[in-house]
Amino acid sequence: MKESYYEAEGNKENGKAGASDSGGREIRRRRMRKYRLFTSFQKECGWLEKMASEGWFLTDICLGVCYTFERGEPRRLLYDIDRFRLPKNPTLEEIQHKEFFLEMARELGWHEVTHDEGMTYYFAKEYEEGGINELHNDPESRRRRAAKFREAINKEGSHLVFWGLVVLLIDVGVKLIGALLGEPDPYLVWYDWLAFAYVIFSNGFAVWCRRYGIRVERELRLTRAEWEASRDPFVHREVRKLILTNRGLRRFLEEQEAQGFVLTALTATRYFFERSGISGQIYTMDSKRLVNKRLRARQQRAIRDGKDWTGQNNDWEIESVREAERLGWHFVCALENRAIIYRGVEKAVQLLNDPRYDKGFRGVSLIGEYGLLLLFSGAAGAVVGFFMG
Amino acid sequence: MEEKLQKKYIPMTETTYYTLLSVTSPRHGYAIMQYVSELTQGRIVLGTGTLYTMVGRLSADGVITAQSDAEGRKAYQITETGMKLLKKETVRLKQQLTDGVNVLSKEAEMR
Repeated sequence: MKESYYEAEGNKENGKAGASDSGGREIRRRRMRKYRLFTSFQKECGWLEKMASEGWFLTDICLGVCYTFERGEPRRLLYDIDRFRLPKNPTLEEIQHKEFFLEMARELGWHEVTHDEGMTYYFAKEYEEGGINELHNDPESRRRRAAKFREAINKEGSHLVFWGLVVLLIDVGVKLIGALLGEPDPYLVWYDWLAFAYVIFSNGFAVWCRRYGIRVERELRLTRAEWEASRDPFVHREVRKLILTNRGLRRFLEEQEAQGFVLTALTATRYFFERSGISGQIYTMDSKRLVNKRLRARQQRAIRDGKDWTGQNNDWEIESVREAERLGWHFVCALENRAIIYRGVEKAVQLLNDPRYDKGFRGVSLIGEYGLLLLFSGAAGAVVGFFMG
Repeated sequence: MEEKLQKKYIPMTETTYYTLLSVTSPRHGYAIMQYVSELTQGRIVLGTGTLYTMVGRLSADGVITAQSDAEGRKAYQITETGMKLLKKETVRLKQQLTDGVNVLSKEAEMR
């Protein structure tokens, strides 16, 4: 059924070739296989569209890496994806959902090409000038689809973690049986290592899945055009850099600003910029430690919460924003409740923090108290191990 | 059941209201989109995903029914329950509009 779609389309377009070959001999179908691994659906669909414009049309995807193509008349074909996987105990609505959707998509010119093992369906549609060229043509629909993909990816990770538990239990069971049978002491050591490696792998994979899911969700919320624009190096820039002092951070941000890029978001080592026309702006950073220093300097009580073990209390952030806005600064972004970056016009703002804190080490505000603890205990362990060993 | 539905659908979202209006006579999915877009002069453009999820919910709740035509395409039409909801919501909207107009005109007189 899937193949007949392309055949019908192909014959329509080169009916001549079909007629000249009607002597009973079938035109030799030309197929091609390609192996690719995509981590971005937008990129994947873009690639499929490029293949179509070169005359190769997708017919099948196997295990997410093996793409089968069929030769046809080169034309502009659009590809898009959605997934239809039912939950454990589906409702009537959930069962019919796919039927409604497929019908709707068909009316808009989309055809189901194939689907993969994870129930991700690939659709194709002839490009239509001025028509609806997206499978999901409003933000709400795209948001729903993106959430579906994120949940599915997260699930994959947690399944592997579950099997890690099984592997560990088998390990314990084997040991117990071994002890009962009176096996010698170092027994099946290789299985210990296997179980250990698997648990490490599955947990790492689960973390990766969570992050990957967030990335996929973000990208699937965009239309293709928006996604392409978001990757335009003239408009968006991403820099990986480890900056250890407040002064270093300020200098780095102001360098970027001089090149016409303003900060939009950051993580501990990644900085995201967007091109902008504004200039003459400076940056400053604030953290809980600095807020408390200011409070103490004014003879006020420092912000402290003995019950806040994981650094989720945002009292310091409220205080910081209130103070910064009074001094003319604008909030830019925050780094995991540990630091806030402000931006302001150089001539219109007053300093938020005493310049002598500028050279301060960005330890806590960069990786957090627990991060520092881990780092130091790791280093201490290495030192002890070095001298003992 | 009726009461449950009323709780769920009143007040109604704008897209649901227009979708129900469009299926007062039988329409296919794409026709619903076009009808709503024409009726509101392009102000409301139903998204494909939004529409099919809504159609799914409405038909699971028995507010609309789906019937396949000769070509196997589905046409949707409002049920009696749906019609009751739609009328009730229209009365509610009318009241809301009257209240709004009254308060705003009084406000204008005061100035």
